[in-house]
Amino acid sequence: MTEIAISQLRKEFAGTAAVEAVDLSIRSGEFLVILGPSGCGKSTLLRLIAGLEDATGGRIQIGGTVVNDLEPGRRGCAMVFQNYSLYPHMSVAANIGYALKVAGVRRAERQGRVEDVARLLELDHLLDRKPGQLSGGQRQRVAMGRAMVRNPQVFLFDEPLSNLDAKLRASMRVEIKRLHRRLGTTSVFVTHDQLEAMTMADRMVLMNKGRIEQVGTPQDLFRRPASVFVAGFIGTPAMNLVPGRIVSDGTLVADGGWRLGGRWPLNPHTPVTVGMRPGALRLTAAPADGPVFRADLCEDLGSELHLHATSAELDLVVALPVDARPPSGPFGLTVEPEDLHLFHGETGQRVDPLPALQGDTAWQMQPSFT
Amino acid sequence: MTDAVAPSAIRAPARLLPRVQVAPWLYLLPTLAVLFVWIYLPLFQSFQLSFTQWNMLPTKTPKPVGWANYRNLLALPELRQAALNTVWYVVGLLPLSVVIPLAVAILTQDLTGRLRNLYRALIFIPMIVPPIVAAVLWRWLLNEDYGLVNHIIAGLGFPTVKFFQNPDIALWTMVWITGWKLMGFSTLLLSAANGTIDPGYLEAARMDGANRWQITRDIRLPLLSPTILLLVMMTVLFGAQWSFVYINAITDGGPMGATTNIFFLMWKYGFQTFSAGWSATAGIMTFVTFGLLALLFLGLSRKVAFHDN
Repeated sequence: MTEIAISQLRKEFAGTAAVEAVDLSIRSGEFLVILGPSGCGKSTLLRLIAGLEDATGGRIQIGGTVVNDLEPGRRGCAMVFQNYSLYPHMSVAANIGYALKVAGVRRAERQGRVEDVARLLELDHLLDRKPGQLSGGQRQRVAMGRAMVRNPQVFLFDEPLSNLDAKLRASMRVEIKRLHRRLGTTSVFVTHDQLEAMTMADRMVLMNKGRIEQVGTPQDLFRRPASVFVAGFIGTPAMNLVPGRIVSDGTLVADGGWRLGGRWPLNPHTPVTVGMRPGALRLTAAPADGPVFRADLCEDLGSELHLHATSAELDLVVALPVDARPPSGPFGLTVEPEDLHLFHGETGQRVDPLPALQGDTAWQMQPSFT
Repeated sequence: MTDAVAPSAIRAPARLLPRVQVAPWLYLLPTLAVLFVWIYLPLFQSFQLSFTQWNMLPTKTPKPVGWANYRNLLALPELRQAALNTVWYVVGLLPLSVVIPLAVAILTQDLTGRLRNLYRALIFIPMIVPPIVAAVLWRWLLNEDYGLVNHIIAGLGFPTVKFFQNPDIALWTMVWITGWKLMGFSTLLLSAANGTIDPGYLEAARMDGANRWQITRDIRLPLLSPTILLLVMMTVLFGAQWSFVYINAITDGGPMGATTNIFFLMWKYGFQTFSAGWSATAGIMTFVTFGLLALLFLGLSRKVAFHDN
């Protein structure tokens, strides 16, 4: 049972903070994905856990032991690197067995354990090859084998799939998840690919500018983004984010005089950002008041259509089923109040709606287009 | 049918003469001419000369003597001593041109900023000192009566050392001076090679639990092997040659031939005693020996050294 507890972790490079005020607890056996744009500090956080970087401040505990001053090799973590970093002069067998060799495991036992791991990863016919003679996917597997052979308490993955082509990436994703299910080892997986994060994570962490924006299940982050940043980062196509304000009668109005529903615990005249998923928008007839849209561009992805709708003030993306016919003339858009995401205009933090009142139908302003 | 055959029948005569590509050979010509005139022609002429007796006077023609030069030289204790000294030069130079620079390069790899520049400048200075200046400098430093080194030795209460006059020590003094000039170059080369090692390998090894020494032994040294082998090869093939200036300027091969190596002997035969035949013979024997060694090294480097693509 190995949980990781991180408190008030901080890392500076030449006076600039790369990781700041990070509090995070990773449960034993969990598959945690750290997601974020490049330069957000996600790799640095992983390297801090690994011990490849020394923390400037804060504390890291692995399995109840403070590991801040422990050498990487003594923290019980194994790492899979982005470019694999296989020792180029050693055979596959020597690469996998190197950790056991430096740990002083006898040759016969070492060979047995290397073969076990190789069989599990279907590498047994490649043991004598050098890394230079392997394909990308095979190298990836050797890197996995090198991590697995020590039976580590924690697996650390630093964007291990980003050097593979799309097809191989999808199959390795499944393979890594299967291995995790089988071994049940606590795993921390860093990626910039939200599809990878959404599909693999038990829980995920979204980072931005060295800080944690939100921690939760993929569904939590998708359905209840805690900030404008999370809302904009997660989801493809990205959530439509529109500036707006609460007017004097307490209703929400987006730019272009677009009256939206819901009851919000905010004072009148508060600036806000309104988030609407492309899939939550519905087409209606052109309204008398509020923004009138025109179709600008329609992308057919095969599984759905992405309609770029423009009005005088707004540019939105609407996801439509493939059998929908994009409107040729002007049209309006509506969204159910429960599909709205509201963020405070100044702090960017999420604002949850007040519970709806019985019979409150004020938001039903437009007849349905269908 | 005839229509299909016709085009090839028309083209055929043009292909009867293979088109010679002239341009590539023209580009190569200057290099090939220089190589021929300055390397292969003299080599061939030395070979011819080694079967003759000639005192280098233009008025005399070389007299053919068959294998006599080879027989006489091989029977000469002077040549045997010079050959053995050549081996000692190489053996003595290896620690100075490979082992110490390797240790310095690895121990100083973490130096940064100003300290690194200072150390690089210090280690590089001997390289840019002209050999003859270095010779004069060391002759003063190691002088028995008024040299700084003996002054210090005497100051510490030890008897002074005859660095250039004692036959047991003189050769090692020459090795030291030659090596002192080489060390900077080797260190720079090894530092550069060490710096290009992908830090990912070292991090992977740290994750695997390897300590500093294990990382050096299992990761750094194998990845440095091409550079190490290159330096060993250069030392073995050229080390004894590089000491020529110091022998010529300081000991003149003495005392009693103790510092004479094969290259100095060759020069002495040719330009001090004017026996061109003997000089050429020694030259050809040296050429063949070192040529075989070079082939051996090439084979070895293909087998042993690892090249990271």
